[in-house]
Amino acid sequence: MTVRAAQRSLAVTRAQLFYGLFLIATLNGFVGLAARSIEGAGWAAAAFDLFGISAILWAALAAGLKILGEDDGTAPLRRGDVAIALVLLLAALLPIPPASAVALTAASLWAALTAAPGSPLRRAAIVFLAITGAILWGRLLLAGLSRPLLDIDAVFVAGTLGVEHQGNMIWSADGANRIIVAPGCSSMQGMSLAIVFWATVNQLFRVGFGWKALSYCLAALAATVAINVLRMGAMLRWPEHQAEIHHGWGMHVAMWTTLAAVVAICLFGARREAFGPR
Amino acid sequence: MRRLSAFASLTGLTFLVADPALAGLPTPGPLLAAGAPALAVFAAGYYLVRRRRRG
Repeated sequence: MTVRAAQRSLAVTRAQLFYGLFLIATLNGFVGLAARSIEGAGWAAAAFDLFGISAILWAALAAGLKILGEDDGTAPLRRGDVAIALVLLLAALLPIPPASAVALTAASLWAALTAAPGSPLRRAAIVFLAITGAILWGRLLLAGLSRPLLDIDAVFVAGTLGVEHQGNMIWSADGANRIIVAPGCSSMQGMSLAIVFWATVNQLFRVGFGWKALSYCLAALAATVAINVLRMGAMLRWPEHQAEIHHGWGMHVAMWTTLAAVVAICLFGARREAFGPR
Repeated sequence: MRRLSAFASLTGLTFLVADPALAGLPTPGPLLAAGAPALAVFAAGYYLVRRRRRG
């Protein structure tokens, strides 16, 4: 079947095809994570918690689809589009949770590399590529390089408090208490989401890529790490409140502060495009 | 066709590596999850930005 014949039989534009593919692959990528959340907390609590998936990822999904909706539908299907679609749909049928995230990576890379610069398809593809960083690649990186990544967090905490550390274990100043930086506490988790939000804001409001835009991304990453390090440091400094800081009110304070900082930094970086007249 | 099968093999290999590696790792960003209220804040913020841009 030629590309033209496929396009005629599918009767969709390139943007429409990728709209469907990105939506299916992203929701499928979320399913594995959501299932764990429902199992652990039940339907109602899981739904309120957005099924354990960050609000940033849901917002990025909505923004990516909105950007694709801006497409004028003139770009014809390319030779590899149908093959990418078949691989992605096949991955969606596999009972392996990361399969769709891998397929989404391939589809968004393909779309970003083959779409016209500045086109809605390329902008949306960048957003979906960033999503895969949070749901798959960041976690895989943490799984593969957990030791050095967790050690870096420990170095920051120990340096901030002026205390001893060994690997990912940190002791309090008097040596009476210690904490271990676990993968769930790694700054890497928040950093991958900060990148998703930065990419989403920049693509939604058409901020040009350059050193200035990149510096706001780095600032958002630095804020994420700083707040996480302060949270871990507080657990060591006030061991009597360790549980509250780790998974009680302290966690909520850190969560909302990080979210506010990342949103403020990214929006400040895009202030002209986001708040200026069209 | 050869490129497609190479891509499919690479994808399959990644699945095999990724699945056990991710088992037990937390869902993305517990520090930035923030739940439904955060999504409501995003939606309200976007609505306000759009209103402001439209003047």
